[in-house]
Order: sequence, then C-alpha cells, then structure tokens
Amino acid sequence: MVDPKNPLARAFSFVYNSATLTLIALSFPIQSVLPQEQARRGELQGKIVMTKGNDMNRPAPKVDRYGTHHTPSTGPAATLPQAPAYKLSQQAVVFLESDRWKGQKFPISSTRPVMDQRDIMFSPRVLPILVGTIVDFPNSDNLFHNVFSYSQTKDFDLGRYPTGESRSVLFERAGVVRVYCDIHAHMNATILVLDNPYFATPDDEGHYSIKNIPEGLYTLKLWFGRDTVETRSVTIKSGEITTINLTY
Amino acid sequence: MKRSFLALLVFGTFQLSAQVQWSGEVSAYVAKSDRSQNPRVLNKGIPTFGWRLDLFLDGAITENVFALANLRVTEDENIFIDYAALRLTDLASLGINFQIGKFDMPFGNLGERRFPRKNFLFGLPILYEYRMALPMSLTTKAQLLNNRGKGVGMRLIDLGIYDVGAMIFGDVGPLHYAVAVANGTISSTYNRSLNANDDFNKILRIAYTPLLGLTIGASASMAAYLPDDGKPIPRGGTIDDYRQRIGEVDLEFSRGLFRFFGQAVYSEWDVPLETQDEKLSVIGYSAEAKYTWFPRFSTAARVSGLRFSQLDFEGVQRRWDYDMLEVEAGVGYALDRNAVVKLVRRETRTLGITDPHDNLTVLQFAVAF
Repeated sequence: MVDPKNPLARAFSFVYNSATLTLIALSFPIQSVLPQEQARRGELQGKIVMTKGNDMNRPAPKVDRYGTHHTPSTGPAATLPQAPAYKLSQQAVVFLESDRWKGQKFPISSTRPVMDQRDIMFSPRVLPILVGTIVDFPNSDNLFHNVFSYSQTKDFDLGRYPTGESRSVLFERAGVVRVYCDIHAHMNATILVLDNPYFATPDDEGHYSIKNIPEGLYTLKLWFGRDTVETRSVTIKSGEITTINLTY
Repeated sequence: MKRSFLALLVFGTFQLSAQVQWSGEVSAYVAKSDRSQNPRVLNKGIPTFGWRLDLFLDGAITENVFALANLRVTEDENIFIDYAALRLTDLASLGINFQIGKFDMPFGNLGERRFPRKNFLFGLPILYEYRMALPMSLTTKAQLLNNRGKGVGMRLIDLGIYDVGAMIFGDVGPLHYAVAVANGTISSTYNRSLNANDDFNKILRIAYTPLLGLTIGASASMAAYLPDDGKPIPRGGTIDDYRQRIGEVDLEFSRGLFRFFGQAVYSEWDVPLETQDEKLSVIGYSAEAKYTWFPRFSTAARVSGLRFSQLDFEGVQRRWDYDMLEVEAGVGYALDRNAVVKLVRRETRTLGITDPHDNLTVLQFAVAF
C-alpha cells in the first residue's frame, strides 16, 4: 500500500505503474489491437494456377562416381536417389510488402518452423518466417548432411550431425537466405525472412488465404522456388475479402 | 589415335544418353617454391601460374545405365580423359553394380579430394605424387640408387589411379565392397598405353561404416608392373613373374565442423636386378584434418611421408630412395557456395641428404559450375 500522505512514495508508485503498463502494452502490440482497429482489417485470398509444371525442379540424376563407401538404406550405391518433385505447398509463398511495417515488431509464434533434411532434399524448399524466428534443421536421413548458408542476411554452417539430431538458427534480419548442403550439391532451399506476419503458403491445389490484414495499399508477391515470379498491387479494405488469383 | 578413339567412344555414348548433365570445375594457382634439387620443387623455384579445367559429364542412358566421363585440361594445354565409363546399377535388383571403361581404381579413400575445390590443401599427399627411384622398367642397382631423389620413377599411388578396367561394387548393410581388374598397377596405371604386359591388376576394397561419419577401409592389389618392351629379363624370367603387391588401410571421420582422413600404405615390388632378384618395399602414410571455424573460413593440415626399405650395395645397406616427410598447412575461405580461395604452405624434408628442406607457398582459387 502506498501512503497517500507521502509524496515520494506516490511519485515512485506512479513511475512504477506507468512503466509496468508500458511494458505490457509493448509486449502485446497485436493482441492489444483495439476493437475498432480490428474492424478495419480485411482478408486476401486466391488461387495460384501453375502453368509451367513442377518438373523444372526435378534434379537430373547425378552419379556418385567417387564414393569410397556408402551408407546403408540410401538406395542403390551408384546413384543418388532422384527425389520426387516438390509439391506446390513446399515451394510457393504469397506475402505482402509495405513500408508501414519497417521497424515494427510482431510477436513470434511459439511453434518453431522446421526445415527438414529428408530423402536427400530440403523440405520445404521455401520456408517463410518472421524476423526473430528460430528455425530447426533436423536430419531425417540415414546419412550426413551439412547445412550452410553464405547469404548476407544470415550466414551459418551447421556442420555434420547424425540421423535424429537437429540444429537451430535464429534469423534476426529480414531478407533472403539461400540454404545448401555441402555434401549434396543438388540440395538447395530458401528461407524468406519477412518483416511482417502477412504471408501464407498455398495448399497443394494453390489456394491461399491471408487474414487480419490492416486496410491499405500493399505489394503482393508470389515467390516460387528460387525467386519472386509475380508482383501485384493490392488494396485491402476493411471487412472485405479481396480475391487475387495468380498464374505462373 | 587411342585417345581420339576414346573421345569418340565417350561422346558417341553421350549422344545415346537420354539425359545429360554437365558440370565442371576451374582452378588457378600462383606458386613459389625454393630452388633446391628436390623433385617436389616447382618450376625450378620460379614463381609459377597454373590452371586446370575439369569437365564432368553424367549421362543417363536408361534408369540403370549411365555413361560417365571426366575431361581434364591443364595449363600446358594437355587434354586428359581421366574417366570414360559405362555403369550398370542394381543388376538383377540385387544391389550389385558393374562398371567398365576408364575410371579411378577402388584403392584408398581419396575420393573427391582429388579436385581442387574439395581438396583441403594444394595437391595430393606425397604418396600420390612423389616419383620414387624405382622405374617401371628394367633397372640396375646402380641406376636405382642413382635415381634417388630425382623424381624419375613410379609414384606409390599413381595420382588419381585412373586406369582401364572393370569393376563390380556394392553395399551389404554397412559394408561396402569393390572388386576390380585393370590394365596397369596402382603405382603405374598405364593410362596412355594398353597391354603393357599380360597380367591384370587385381584389386579388392572393403570399407566398413559402423556409424555415421566413421568409415574404416582396406584395399589390396597385385599385378605385374614391368612393360613388354622387348628387353630380356635377367636369369630367364618373364615380366609376369615380377609383381607389385600393395595394401592399404584408411580411416575417415567427420563430425560437426571437423573432418579427418588417414591412410597407411605398404607396397612391395619383385625387382629383377642384374645380380639377383630383390624385394623393394615402401611404407607411405598420410593424415589430414580440416576444421571450419566460422562460416566460410576453415583451416587444414596434412602430414604425409614415405619410408623406403634398405638395399645392399657393395656391402653397405642403403635405402633405395630417400625417406620423405611433408607437412602442409593452409587456410581456406569460401567466396561463394562454389568458390574457394586457399593459401597453403608446404614444407618437405628429404631425410638423409644435405639441404633436405624444401618448401612451397601457393595461393589457389577454385570454382565449380
């Protein structure tokens, strides 16, 4: 209890309570959205129509000609297994860009995204994450991988670790991170480190949906495989569902 | 003529291939060694620029038949077809593979370290490169001893051991096996001439991988090594009576950012010297390690050497070549995923003679495409 007659105690209590309230408010920037602001939000949805097919991502068979030994359970020793083509959901991302989000912090999901190493491929091939996210890189193959990246956004080298083990990387800056395996040259993936949470991966039929977007004018981008393949301007209106279909 | 034929065979085969993948590697270096007489001295100690281009072709003819080729071009504009082979995989669904043509013999664990981008340092361990006193032809005891330290004979392991032959290989659980027959020997691959003698090189390799990152291997080989050049063999023997017997054990370990390769080799030759047949032997060894300290930046070190057996010459026991010890260390920086630059320092000791200390400093750049 604060003594109301003691001015020093009252001043301390005011500063303490103000600081606490400020900290709470800063900790929940999205959750503390006022109801009227919530009402000024809209939704973006649509379908990605693939016209180029998926085979472009299928690596040609590569022969392991200098292997002096092989690890069991990885298929015929003489060739690297030819991985199946990626599904659309594993290599396409739809996301929004806007200057209004520069420097703004968004809450990070408590569930860590995973980039798996399975069947001598990265899965997914494209992983969108929010700045400040930690990504897990488990090894699900019965052989070594060596995940690394020399990207300016984030460089790391996780070394070699066995089946069932995992390594983690924190991505602190927005940008594109190219991920490779030092042992298997055909393995490559991209991590899109985004500065806002308004992104979505489509399902395998191409349907996507981004909800709870503040109203305004944005740039909509479709990332497929290694690059942005489609860019559009899109206006989100409060309480409305905007439909944008994308073709690649 | 023979190389033209091989080239035609390779590229004719690739015409048949349903799916062809090209890749390659270019490397260039600037090197400076000191001016001693050791055969490891590069270009008499004059600063030297060199380059090398490797082209790899992978052709899938069917799901289980592949055509493979490597073409190597060096700064002296020589063109080498190191690899030109047909590979049949998973024969009769038994997991057995068959390969025929010209390819690297299954001996040791050099693997992709033979190429500059995957090599931790510059060049190969000394047991792959050093030319010993023993030539691949008839010699006398005096000639042999005179050859010591001059770099005129065979290599213990002949560079990449590319030879013409056939091989069956595969895996049974953690066990890898390879059985091959080839034209030359491990120390003299005869990759530019066929039918040097009537004996085939018989090679066996077994490697065991008890856990991920650790592989223990052993290889053995036996073949006649003298060529059929028409010279009479002393005491009425034939060239097929004089063989090289060579065996090795190797170890590979990797975990995290650390890698290690070790190899020990023992070889013995039956040599028809002028007065009697001699058994000459040599032990070679190599150990190298690499550690990546930060993304892009790594260091590596290698120790390798050769130790020769003794030979009686006019009542005095002498080694038939000078023992060698080589230590290398280097730093590597990955400019890109496919490009690396290395600075390497190599110190070579020729034991048993004066002025035994040679060195080499080299800056090398390698990029894969």
